[in-house]
Amino acid sequence: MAPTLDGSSPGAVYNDANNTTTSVVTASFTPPSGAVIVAKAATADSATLSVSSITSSGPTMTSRVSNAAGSHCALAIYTGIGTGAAITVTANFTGTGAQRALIVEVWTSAQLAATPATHQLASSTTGAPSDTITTTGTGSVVSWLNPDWSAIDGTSRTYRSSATDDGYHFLTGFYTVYNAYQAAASAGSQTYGLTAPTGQTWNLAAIEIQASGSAPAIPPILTMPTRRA
Amino acid sequence: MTVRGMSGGPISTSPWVVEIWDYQHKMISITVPWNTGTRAQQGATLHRDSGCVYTWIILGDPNDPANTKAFQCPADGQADSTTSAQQLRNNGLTTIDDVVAVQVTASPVKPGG
Repeated sequence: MAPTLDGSSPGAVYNDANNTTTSVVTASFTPPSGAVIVAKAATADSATLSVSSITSSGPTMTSRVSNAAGSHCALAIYTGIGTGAAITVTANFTGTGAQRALIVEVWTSAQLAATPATHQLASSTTGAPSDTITTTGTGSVVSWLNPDWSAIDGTSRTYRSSATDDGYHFLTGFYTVYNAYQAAASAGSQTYGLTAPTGQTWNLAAIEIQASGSAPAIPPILTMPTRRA
Repeated sequence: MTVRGMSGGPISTSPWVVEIWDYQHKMISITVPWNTGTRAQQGATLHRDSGCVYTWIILGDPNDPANTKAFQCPADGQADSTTSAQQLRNNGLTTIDDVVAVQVTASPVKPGG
């Protein structure tokens, strides 16, 4: 069974004050035991604010992707594993101040590879965001985010690869944040991003969430049976 | 289409809108129009898609109920609700800068409840 976005996922968190650096924190939520927690954070301008860490009040959160390319938004993706206890997740920042966002997804029927497949790409010119990630499992999901430093209005947005958006925030003159996920039924190269709007100064980052019980990323160790003398 | 404004300045375009989706892609939102000259807020409109798991919009840390402003959103089947500018002022929110000074999120329960 493919990973399923769980109803325990907390609401997105946005702070649109440009001159503060305070952390943003989710409301308390209770991810099921063994659920994969994916936390994605972004800032409106890497020059004035970057993501320093994402933590939780329970499980350890592990950094998977982080980028603060100049003249782009900064971003980070962290993951954790739920224990069935109520927790909060906090995104922490460093700098002088910028708008910032945090989206947390809880995935059931899911697992993470020992080293999850990830990819990140910051645009070298403006355009429609597009990148690829190479997944290793079957029946996986790719979860991704794209903060746009050019703050193009994404009201009429269209996604590549039939992605479902689960977080969109547009702040005129500052940034636009897109969060989405898509199915990756077969292992291999997966294209993700948007076909519209164009003109974005985008910064894409993605992570593979495997279906629980997926084949391990490394082959099994073979042992020879003993022979009788 | 819009382009990036000057970094370091306050928000400049009315209304301020925040939309938050749940796992079913049902949405809850808050819209606050404001006077771009005086920066005075002009009340708030709250929307909630029927069936959305979130029922509250929260300004501030939802885990610190004493220091949040929580807005209960419409029940299933109800139309959008409004909060007057005066009601917001009564809660210390006079300008749009007061409104956006803290984080905003959504929750299925009232803070502290």
